[in-house]
Amino acid sequence: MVCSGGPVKELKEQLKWLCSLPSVSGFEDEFADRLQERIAAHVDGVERDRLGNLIACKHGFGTQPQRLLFDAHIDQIGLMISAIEENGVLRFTDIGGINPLTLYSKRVRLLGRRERAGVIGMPPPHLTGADGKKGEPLHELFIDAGFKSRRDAERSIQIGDIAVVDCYSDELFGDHFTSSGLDNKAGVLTLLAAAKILSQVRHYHDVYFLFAVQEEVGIRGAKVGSFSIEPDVAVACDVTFADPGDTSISVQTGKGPVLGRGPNFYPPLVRKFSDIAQREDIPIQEEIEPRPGGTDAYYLQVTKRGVFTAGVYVPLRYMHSQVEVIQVKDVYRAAKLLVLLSQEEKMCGEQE
Amino acid sequence: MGRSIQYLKQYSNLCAAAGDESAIRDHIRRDIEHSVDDVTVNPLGNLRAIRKGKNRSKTLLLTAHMDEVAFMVKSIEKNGTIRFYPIGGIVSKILPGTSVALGVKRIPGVIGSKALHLLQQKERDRVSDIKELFIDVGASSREEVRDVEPGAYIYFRSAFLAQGGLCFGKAFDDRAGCAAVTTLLNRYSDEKPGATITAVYTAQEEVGLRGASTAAFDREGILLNLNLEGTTCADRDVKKTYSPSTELGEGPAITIMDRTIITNRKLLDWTVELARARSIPCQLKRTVTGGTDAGKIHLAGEGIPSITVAVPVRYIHAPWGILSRKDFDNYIRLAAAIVEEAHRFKA
Repeated sequence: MVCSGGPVKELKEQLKWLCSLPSVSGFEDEFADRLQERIAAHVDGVERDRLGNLIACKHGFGTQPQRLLFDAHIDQIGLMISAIEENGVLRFTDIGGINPLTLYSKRVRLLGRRERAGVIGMPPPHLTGADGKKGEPLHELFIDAGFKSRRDAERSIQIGDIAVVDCYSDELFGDHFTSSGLDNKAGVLTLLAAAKILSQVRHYHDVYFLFAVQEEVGIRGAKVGSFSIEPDVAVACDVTFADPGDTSISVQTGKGPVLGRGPNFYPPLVRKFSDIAQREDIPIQEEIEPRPGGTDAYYLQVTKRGVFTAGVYVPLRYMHSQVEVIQVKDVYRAAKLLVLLSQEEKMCGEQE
Repeated sequence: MGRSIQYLKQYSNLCAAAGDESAIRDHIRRDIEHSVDDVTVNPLGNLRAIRKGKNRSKTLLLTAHMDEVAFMVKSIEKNGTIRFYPIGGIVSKILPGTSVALGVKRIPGVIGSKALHLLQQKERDRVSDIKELFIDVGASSREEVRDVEPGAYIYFRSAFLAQGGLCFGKAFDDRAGCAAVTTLLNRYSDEKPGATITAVYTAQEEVGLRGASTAAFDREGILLNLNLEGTTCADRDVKKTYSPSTELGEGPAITIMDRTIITNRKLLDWTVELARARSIPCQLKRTVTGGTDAGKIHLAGEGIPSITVAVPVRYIHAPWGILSRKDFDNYIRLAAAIVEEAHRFKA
């Protein structure tokens, strides 16, 4: 397999499509439907579980195949309408962690009965004076969709409806791509890309794809999905911090997928990935995570009797904002690592 | 969609800040050329159009400013990120997480923001100063940044959107005024107006009313100046210290006083009376902050009675403003009435 412009370009198109479909935690159904249509052609079987996870399976040719799980959470952060004021403005809470400082004056898509545009209103400098220097907490913000009154608003929106911050999906310099929801549409794309390659090459192990719901609110989908799949080996595909100018971060976009290191990850499996990367000349980076947590790997590892787990992450800038930035070639490289692992008869030994 | 709203849509989608007004100026010029007797551009970049009236000795000065608030590239850092200055008044706290376009090629970029996970507790509600912020165009080094130089203009990216009776978009301050002036001029493509109309689409309002300073110096016999604006509207905010300023849907807002002018009382009363006589809803602006081109024009030469009529815009000086279609229509109706009756006004 060579990394050329071809697959990366195709991946960019797929990523734009993925990012255009909102999938806020707990409201992933429609997105999962579309994803299911797309992945069906590449796999042997697809099903949905009771929590809404999308699970696909592709059998390997091996004589003693193991159950290899590739996981990516499909949910993204969002907003939920919590109250409608008398004058028609909407109060909201966040689903998943959102920095209120990124919300001021942004446009939102209100996904109620009828989709509407709204603006998170902020007064202009002419009026704010010293308040312009002060950050408002989430509960003081409001969405203005132009409703004249509560009654007017209730014709198209109700409490509990969700919204996402709207933004532009754009190609930037250096093959960078920006959009909202790249956490974790980048991981979803990693799995999609791997599935497509796996439909064209021979692989030893039985591969299970877990498109997990509700990661952002407490890693819930992965917990039950992994239970029913009962994998021998599991790999969580997510994103990780690569902000420029932050001295605490060494990971950079474009320098390859990131392997998690720490108690959450099985060292021989991580080493296997490093060996494969070295052998195939795929650049990789490492990130130290002294405490388990933060991605689906947290639950994958402790499923049933325990699972050999790794984390393969796409480096990403400005996490949980609507202007997240990644390099698509890091996604492609991550997908290649997954595929190559599935072709290795011996993925990892027992704990040394 | 009516003609005037079409103008608003086209004008607000264009990018033009102080000193970089050519995109909007060229567009307006094409829209009005066929309706006026003379079009010129002055050294500041003001676009001036003259439509001679039946009564040549009386002139009405119509103004609206072309520039919007925006940014300028200050430096390109070694790591490829871009530092920037604001051009005009912008609250820095609205910026993190905003999509922008840079330079003449409108290169896409984003204003970065730190992930919530990485914020220290004390940083959580701290607003970054504009000089701490940076734009990411996807470059990892200075060399990778192409077609963007220090001094390049940076614009918000917001495409006009109509929803229900409202319009969402950027730069309604003051493309609303530009759209209104164009609409008014084109009403007189065949028939002459009562008084001569001198329309000046001004440059550089947002950086201190610069264009307006040169808009009226050589015109004799100006009866009055009608300055058309987009103004603050804080009717959704809870802060009673400045709310509501103006209210959406209550009609065009007339300025009594702001930081640059106290409106000529006769002109104010005459305008309100005119609106009443023609049953055009209007409101008086209730805040005295900010300033407009009228602040310079009313002091030009021996003084010119000047009045600002503005369409209320929620969230001006930000990527997304909201105005009411009904207000915009009434704004143009009121402006049209003033144009029609101007030759009867006595200061």
